[in-house]
Parts: sequence; C-alpha cells; structure tokens
Amino acid sequence: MTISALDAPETVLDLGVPINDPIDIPDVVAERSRRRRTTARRVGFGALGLGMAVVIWEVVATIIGNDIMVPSVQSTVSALAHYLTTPYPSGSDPLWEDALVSTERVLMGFGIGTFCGVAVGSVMYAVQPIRHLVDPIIEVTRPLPPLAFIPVLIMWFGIGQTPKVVLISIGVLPIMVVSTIAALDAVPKDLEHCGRTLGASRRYVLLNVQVRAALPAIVTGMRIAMAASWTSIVAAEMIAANSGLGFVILQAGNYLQMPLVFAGIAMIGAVGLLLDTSLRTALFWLDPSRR
Amino acid sequence: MELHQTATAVAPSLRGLPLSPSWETGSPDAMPPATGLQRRIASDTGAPAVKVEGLTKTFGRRGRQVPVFNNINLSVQKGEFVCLLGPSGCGKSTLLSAIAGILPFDKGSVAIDGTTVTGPGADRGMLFQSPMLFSWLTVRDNVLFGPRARGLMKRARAEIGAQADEMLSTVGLHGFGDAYPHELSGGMRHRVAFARALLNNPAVLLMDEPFGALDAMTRSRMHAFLISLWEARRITIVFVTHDIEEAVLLGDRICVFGNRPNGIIKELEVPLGRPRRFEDLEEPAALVTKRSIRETLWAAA
Repeated sequence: MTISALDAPETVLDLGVPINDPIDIPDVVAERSRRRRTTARRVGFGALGLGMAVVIWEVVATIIGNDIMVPSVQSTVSALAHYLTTPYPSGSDPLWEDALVSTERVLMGFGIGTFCGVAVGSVMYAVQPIRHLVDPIIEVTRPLPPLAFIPVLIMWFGIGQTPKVVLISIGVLPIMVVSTIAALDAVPKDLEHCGRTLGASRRYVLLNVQVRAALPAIVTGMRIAMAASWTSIVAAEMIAANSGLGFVILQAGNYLQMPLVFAGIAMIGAVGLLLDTSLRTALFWLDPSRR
Repeated sequence: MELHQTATAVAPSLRGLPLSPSWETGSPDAMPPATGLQRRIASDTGAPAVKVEGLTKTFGRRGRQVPVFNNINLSVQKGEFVCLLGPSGCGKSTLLSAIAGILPFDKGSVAIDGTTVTGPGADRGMLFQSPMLFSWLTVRDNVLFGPRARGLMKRARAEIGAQADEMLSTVGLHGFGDAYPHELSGGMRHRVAFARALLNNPAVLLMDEPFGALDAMTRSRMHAFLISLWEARRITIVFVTHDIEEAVLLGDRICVFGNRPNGIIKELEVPLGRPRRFEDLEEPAALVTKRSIRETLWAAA
C-alpha cells in the first residue's frame, strides 16, 4: 500500500467543513524521501569528517617527524598490514585474532552487563522501595574506575576469561541501570492508561506499551555502555592476558612500538564503530521517527 | 472555511458504518452479522450507559487526607453527550479517570450499562489531552491495538482489518494507514485516537480535555468532526472541559463543578437543537446558558 497526499479524503462534515485542512495534509512520501536524502548526506559528511581527522593526523606527524612520538598514518597502516597476519609478540596471535578475542570479551561483558542492568533497572522502576534501597549502591559504584577492581577480581575469579568479562560488565551495569530507569520514567503514565482503556491487560501493556516505548532510549543507553566496555578492554587485558587488542597495545607500548600501538587503537575504533552501527541500525528499526 | 452551513447531508462514510462489529456479538456465521444497535436493544435493561453513585475520592498528602469530591452522583443516558465543566483542580478529570477505572476511588460505585466495573476495560474508551498514539506502530496498527490486545484478531482478522480501514475512512484518514504518527498533522493524530477508541465499540467515550492543546482552527475542525461523528453514531460521551463555549457547543447536558471538594454544584440542559451548528452559539438561549454557567463558576470561586 502506498501513501500519498493524493489519497487524502475529501470528506465534508455536517457543518460544511472539510475533514482535513487542505493546506495541512502532510505529503508522507515526499517527506520520507527528503529524510532519506538527509540521512545519505549525514553519512557522507561523517566520512568526510573522519577523512579530515586522518589528514590532520598526517600533517601533525610530518611536522613532528618522529615516529615514536607521533607515528605517521603511513607507518601505522604498514604496521597494521604487517601484524594483521603476523603474530605479535612472536609465538602469540596475529592482530586479527586479537581483535576477535577482544570483541568476544567485550560482547560477553557487554551482554551480561546489559542483561543484568536492564533487569535491575526494570525491577527498580517497578518497585519503589527496591529503587530507594539500590539507588545509592549504584550511585557509589558508578564513578569507580574498572582498574581498581583488578586485584579483587583476580582473587575471586583467577586469571582466566572470567575476571576480564566480569570487569567489563562491572563498567556496563550501572550505565544500563541508570538509562533503563530513565527510559521507563520517560514513558508517559497516560500511555499506560491508554493501553488499559483499550482493553489490554496489565501484563500486555507492560510489555507491549511501556517496555516497547522505552526501548529506543534503552538502546541509546546500550550505545553508551558499548563505548564504555571498549574503554575497559585495556584494563581487562592487563589481567594476565596473552592475547587481545588491549594486550597487544600494552606490549607494543612497553617496547616503544608506537605504530603498532596506533594500529591497535585503530582496530578498536573500527570494531567499535561496527558494533555501534549495528546498535544504531536497531534504533532505526525501533523508532520510526528516526528513519 | 464555511462554518455557517446547515447540516443536511452527512458524509456517507460516517453513516454507512455498522454501529458494532459482528465479532463481538458472537452471531452464527449463517446469520447476517448483528449490529451493535441490535445487541444494545436486545440487552437493553433500561440502565443508563454510565451510573456513578456516591463516589468519594481523597488524596493522601503527608498523612492528611485531602478530599477531591464527596458523594458524587452522575447518570448518563445512552447516546447522551454530557460535559463536565469546571476550574482546574475541581475533580472533573479525577471523576473521569475513576469512571475509566484507571484511578481507584474510596467509596461509591461505577456501573456501565448496569454492570458495576472496578478496573479499566474496553467498554469505556478514553481520549486524553494528547492523542497518546503508539509512535512505533503505523496508523493502522494503532487503530488495531484494542482488538489485538484483546485477542480478537485470531478469530476475525480479515473482518476486523476491514473494520479498521473503514474506521480510518470515517475519520478522514483513508490512505494514511501505513503512515507513522509523527508524519501526521495534529488534528489527524487526534482522529487516529478517535478511530482507535471507537474500534472497540465502547459503551461510553470518555474525553479528558482532548482538544486543549490544539490551535484554534484545528480545534474548530475537531469540534465539527465530533458533532458529525455524534450525529452519525450517537455515541455516549462524557467530555471534560474548562471552556464554557466548548461545553455549550457540544453537550446535551452540562455538569458544572465547583472548587474542590464541592463536586457538581449545578446541572443544566443545553437548550439548543440537534444537529448542533456553530451559529447556534449566537442564539439568545446559548448566551443565557453561557452567562448562567459563568455566574455559577464565579459565585463558587
């Protein structure tokens, strides 16, 4: 079915008034294609901005002229190309496997943190006493740096995959709790009432109206939490790791391999952008007004 | 805009709609679908559409009980258009929410078509100050929310879908079924909310200052729309407003609220004919009614 202003009804009411204000009938099709053009232009400008950043980087590197202080784009790219398939340090994994390992840790930590955060946030939203009880705990833990937890996590979970994943989820959890509560709070009470007066059960309204209405804002919280989980990957891979992008960056830094440090950072940026894009795509489908 | 034309021919789409979808009557397939009118007559016990008896509501505020209203009685006949008029904070919206079942009350009872109700239900449609559309659903899916939530879609998907499309035509939104709420104009969004509430075929439509946030021109258009809709379908309506002009233009009867907690301090019939026209407001009878209401409100303040 297509929508267009041409389909607009010409119904005239009892009082001689046309039902629609002829000058106020929106042209939905034209508006949608206008929005699509705007989106395309936005993506183009974004690529341009990234390109400009690379150019500025190269200019600064040329002026400084020291590959250890500021590695040039060229040496970073060649380090990236070289180590993408060559293990670093020797006997370890190549960079693409490190990226995979780090992505796995981030996704596990992010997944666990998001799940628990949304669950805790929803319960806090629904039960006032629990909210008042848990809120200060969240507020106290929120500003703590992930690094501070490392000794404790090693004591509790040893040096395997578990402490690394737990460390990341510790960073994600409070972000998701706070954004879930804020998202649910922002759903108007009358939206719930509206669903109920249309004959829906309390449960149906909770899932299909309240949570559904909060979903776009929750996904926005997930985007922030996703960035936070990448910021703690380096800390996580300080825990007796011998693989992962954080580990490679730390190792390369210790041996003044600055182009490789930058290559590792660029890899984190690239994977981070990829994951953020998938969340933005989810947002695109969840919230029609963003299309 | 020609507002002075006398009502003669009603838009065919407004007249043509059956008053109730047949899936709610459970009629056998062999029979032609029974309309809601038939159902209403068959089950007509002579009970008013809405009967509120001895309703009392207090809000607790720091241990102190603040009464909103005491012992309110209200009876709305089938097909009647009643306006609840009063200053802000007088309890008129609270009463409406209590009838809708979304606000618990302390004492008294609410009966719809002779049946006492406690919680919210599809028998009482409600329209809010803003249209409260579900932004993630298309216009058509918004309208279908009621039947879908009530599990009726499994039984009569095609039939309900056709009813929804017809309802969209009724409210002047033919061709906009696949649009999203944010793509519509303000008046159109309100009409989607109408269509959504009406598809449930409620016994009464409760309206809480629904046009308060609209600009004056759109508001007149919505008044014309509501008058036509009422003429065509004779819906029972309880309409909350603080606008004397609006109450006189739309209502058959006006319940004037005093300040909290006095409740309804005056009830009066609107001495204007039907179908209502905009120029009826300039009749001496309308002017006398408006003055009487104004004097009542000012005396109470």
